[in-house]
Amino acid sequence: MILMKTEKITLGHQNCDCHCFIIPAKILKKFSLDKNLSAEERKAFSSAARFENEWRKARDVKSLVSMSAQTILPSGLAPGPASPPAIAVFDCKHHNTLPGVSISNPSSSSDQTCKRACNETTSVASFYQSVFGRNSIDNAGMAMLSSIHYSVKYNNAFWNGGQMTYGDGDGNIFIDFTKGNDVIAHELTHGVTQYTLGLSYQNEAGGLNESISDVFGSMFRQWQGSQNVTQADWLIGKDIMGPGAITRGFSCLRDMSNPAASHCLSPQPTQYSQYHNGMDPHESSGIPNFAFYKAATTLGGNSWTIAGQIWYHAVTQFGPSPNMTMKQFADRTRKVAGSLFLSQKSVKVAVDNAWKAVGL
Amino acid sequence: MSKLKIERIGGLAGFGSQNSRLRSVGEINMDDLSEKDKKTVEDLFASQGKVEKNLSMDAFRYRISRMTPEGMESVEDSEEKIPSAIKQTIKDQII
Repeated sequence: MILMKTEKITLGHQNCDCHCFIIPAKILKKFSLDKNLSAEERKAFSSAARFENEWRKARDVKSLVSMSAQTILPSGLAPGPASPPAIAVFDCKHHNTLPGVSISNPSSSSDQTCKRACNETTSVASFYQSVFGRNSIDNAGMAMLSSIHYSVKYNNAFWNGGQMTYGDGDGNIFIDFTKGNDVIAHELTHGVTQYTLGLSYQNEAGGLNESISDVFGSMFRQWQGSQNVTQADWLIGKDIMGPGAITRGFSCLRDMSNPAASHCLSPQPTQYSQYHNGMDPHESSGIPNFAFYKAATTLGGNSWTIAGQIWYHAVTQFGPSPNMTMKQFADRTRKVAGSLFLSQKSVKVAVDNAWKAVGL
Repeated sequence: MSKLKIERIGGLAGFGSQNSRLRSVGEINMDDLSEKDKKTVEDLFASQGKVEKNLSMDAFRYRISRMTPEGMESVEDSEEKIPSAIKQTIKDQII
């Protein structure tokens, strides 16, 4: 009801002049005291301010409890039977206010963007559940929220700490960001990383953070398409390329099999020696991306069967490590490969060689 | 008249990174901004290095640069802190 109210009086930059991701509580409080608004509107803003504050507190507590539980519980403890997480989709209607207006029955919406966001998010939840036994983003059944039609011709998708958000693209460089199944899995995986390793978003940890999202994004795309490692395209963002990019020979954002390729809109380094602090995480992620590709293709079959399991365990089974380096993550996957596949020495060798190939 | 050079960086696609073919740039005269937006810009430059990092993943950041007597000065901050008049100047392009 509050959201409907803010939508009605258009709480975008026209009123608050800030293009908020989520309207800051101080702005909501300011509007709640604004004599130019009706009493009913001021009351709605007052309620929204309280909701915003409580929502943030609840999110922080939930994140803390979930991360603490993972360090306390015996490793390998299997989660109990879980029902699928709730999936909700909101329409920003081209404003910059999150989450937007709730859409009822999103899976059967006539808006294909809504339907796609709902169905692909459901499928990513199913992927995490059936392949890794994970119950949603926090492994505790957290609802999965997505906002669509964010802003105007917005060339981006992001995870804001509590939900996914998708732009429609400008129709030239990019098209609707929900069209990339790897994009949806990428954003959702940022949530998984937040609730597990809790990686920061700068320097080496930032590159790892981005890489983990690319790895599981690509893995989901392969799983959904029943592709083995040789059938997979290993491209990130192939399905969101617009005509202006395609006609100029660009076929993806990133290519995990060849991070430096010229068909990428954002070519990446392939060697750790090329890394330097301050690098954008979307650039440095090329190094661990390439290592995963090399490990998975050496091992063969489906990426999620062996390599994916090793990466998943390395991400989820050791508690938070916000400032983890690439070398530390590499060593952890080596250790996990040895313990998870004790009787198959070739697995550890493949993982070891993959990291060595990128200089780690 | 002080000219502000604007660059939108980051995002899922990695706009503006060293080898990226994606750029999102614009410029605006400081005099063309409202008093409120001018103050926001001055506050951004004044708080350089002290602002709380935005924790959104794949979110855009903005880099604002201006020429001063001491040379070029730049500041970076998250999208929600940038006045809409500044954000509206940028144009995404492939280089």
